[in-house]
Amino acid sequence: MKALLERGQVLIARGMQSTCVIKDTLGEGGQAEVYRAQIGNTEYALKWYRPEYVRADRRLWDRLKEAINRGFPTESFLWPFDLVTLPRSSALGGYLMPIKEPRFVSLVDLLTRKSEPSFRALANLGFHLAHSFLHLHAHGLCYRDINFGNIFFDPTNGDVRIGDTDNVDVDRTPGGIMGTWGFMAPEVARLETEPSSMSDRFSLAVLLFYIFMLGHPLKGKRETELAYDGSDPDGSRRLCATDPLFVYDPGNESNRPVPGLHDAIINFWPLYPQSLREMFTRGFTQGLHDPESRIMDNDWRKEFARLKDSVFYCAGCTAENFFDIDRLRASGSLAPCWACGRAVTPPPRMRIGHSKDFHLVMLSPGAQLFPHHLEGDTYNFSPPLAEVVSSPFGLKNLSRQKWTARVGEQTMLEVPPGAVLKLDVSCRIHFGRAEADVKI
Amino acid sequence: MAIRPGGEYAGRPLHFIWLLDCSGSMTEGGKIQALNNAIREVIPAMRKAAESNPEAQFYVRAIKFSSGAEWHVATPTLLSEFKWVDLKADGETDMGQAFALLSEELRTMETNTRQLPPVLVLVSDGKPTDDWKGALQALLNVPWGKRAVKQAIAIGQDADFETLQKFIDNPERQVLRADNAEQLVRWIKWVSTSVTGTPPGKEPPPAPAPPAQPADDSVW
Repeated sequence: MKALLERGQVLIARGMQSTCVIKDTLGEGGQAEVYRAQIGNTEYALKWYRPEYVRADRRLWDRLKEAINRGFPTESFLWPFDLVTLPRSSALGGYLMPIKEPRFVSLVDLLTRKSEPSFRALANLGFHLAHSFLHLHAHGLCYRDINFGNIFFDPTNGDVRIGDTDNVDVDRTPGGIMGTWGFMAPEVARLETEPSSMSDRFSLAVLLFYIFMLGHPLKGKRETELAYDGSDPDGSRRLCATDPLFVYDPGNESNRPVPGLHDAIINFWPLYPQSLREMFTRGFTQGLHDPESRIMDNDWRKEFARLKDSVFYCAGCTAENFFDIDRLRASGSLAPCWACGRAVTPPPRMRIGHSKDFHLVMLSPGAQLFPHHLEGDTYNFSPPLAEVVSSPFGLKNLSRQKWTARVGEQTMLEVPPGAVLKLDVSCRIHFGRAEADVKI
Repeated sequence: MAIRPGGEYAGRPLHFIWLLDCSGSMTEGGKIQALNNAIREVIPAMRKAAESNPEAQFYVRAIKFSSGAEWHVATPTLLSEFKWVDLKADGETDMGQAFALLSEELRTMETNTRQLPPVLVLVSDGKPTDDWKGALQALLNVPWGKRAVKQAIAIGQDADFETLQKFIDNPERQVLRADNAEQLVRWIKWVSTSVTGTPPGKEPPPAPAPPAQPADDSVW
């Protein structure tokens, strides 16, 4: 089939006033084709629309111009930066954006188990998503179509790239894409309102549920009981719009996940900390019907930053587990390891700060401390200032500052940059701005 | 590799069935070769589109009809394992027998399952030579036959557009006309990827406008 553009074809980037040369095809869809394009020595992605799509989407160029003028909310977005035409033509045909590196794979790989990231990487992915959408919404924009088809992640560390940014529009602007079934907020799916940042927050919660539970939050037993309805052949409208019910609704058990069909949800749900489960529960019970009760981006961000710090490894089988402080406080013990069933004793950990908003970091090999933890620079996760090393078990000083540690009543140790503080007994560490208690 | 609990996202089965005309007229102008090529060419694109749509688990099959009708690929085959075996053209256009064979199959499918409505794609270049009306009505009376998403591609101007439209059974969906090999690939690709890439419950995108007619003699 003939492509829209040919290899070697030259186009004009209007804002940069430079030529760009088409290399190979990166992807194609119903609306457009995406090519690798070169300007000077740098490669970009160029999305070139099919003429019939341009005719149908009347606000397309206005949205893209708005996005270009505002600039990218975070680097996670594959954000448009210039519009493109054919030479000697003023008719816009596409736009340029950064190219997605090959390390990023589709979120679908997570659902189909092609990709098996660590829980630490997943917590990072959740953090980056919440952080990115928080910035997008803070710009007065809404994404309108959050779904797993346009989000990509690096399975090794949870870095994220968000595509299809040409749907982004000023919050509550009429017209444009309504979203993807299963992700749309119920009031949008019922066509009662336009997509907005509040409906984006519902879609984000669905996406996060997919990422952490590998299933849909509203598709449990009811999915198997629906009678066929020609106007709703797959039941999506009833399950997600007119009669939605969370699979773990505490007040109604009629839509629980079904063993054999929804095993992933059943297996994953209990192993996360209670605080995360409560957020999903709130988002899909009160938040289902009341947009104002939805989980705000910043609350997700806070929770995932905490979740990253709560990962520890089972001493018996090395599986990642989460330290659940609420459970420990309520019952005096942690849950047995989800993988081997062995009883878990609270692992070595560090409490940084004394205020209500302290950081609780599991001292698992590879765990790192950042300005976020030690310098009051919230959500700044680079560069690492400390790292837990395994032999000897200790905390390596990666900062440029000397630390001091008090062991017992009398002993004071100095930890210069590059040195390792052995963690064989409980101690208190002074990092400069922050102070931490270590429990071994 | 990280240790994580088991369980995969449970996609819902979706049967995708080709109904392909292998009558003698398909030998003219390289039509049957073009059809074989189009399907073979489109399989990777279907797989790619399906990969982005974990909501559905696609099973593909094919019925061929000429003098009589039979299953060309009888076993519902996961898209990831589907391989195309070339069709040969000869004989009449017994479309009615293909409808009968299909309704027999759809009748055996359980109705109360998580299965998504099947997708049926009919490709033909001529008028049926058997009694197709009763067979089509029987097909549309079977629950999954009625519920199925039906699409039809007409190869060339001699195709029976009226019959194909009746098969589609939906005035909002028009017969797609392919007048040359390139258009055939385009439509086959569009009908297969617009379905495999579309989450259930979402209407596939509208058919794109046909490309300009080529001026050469490759037109069927």
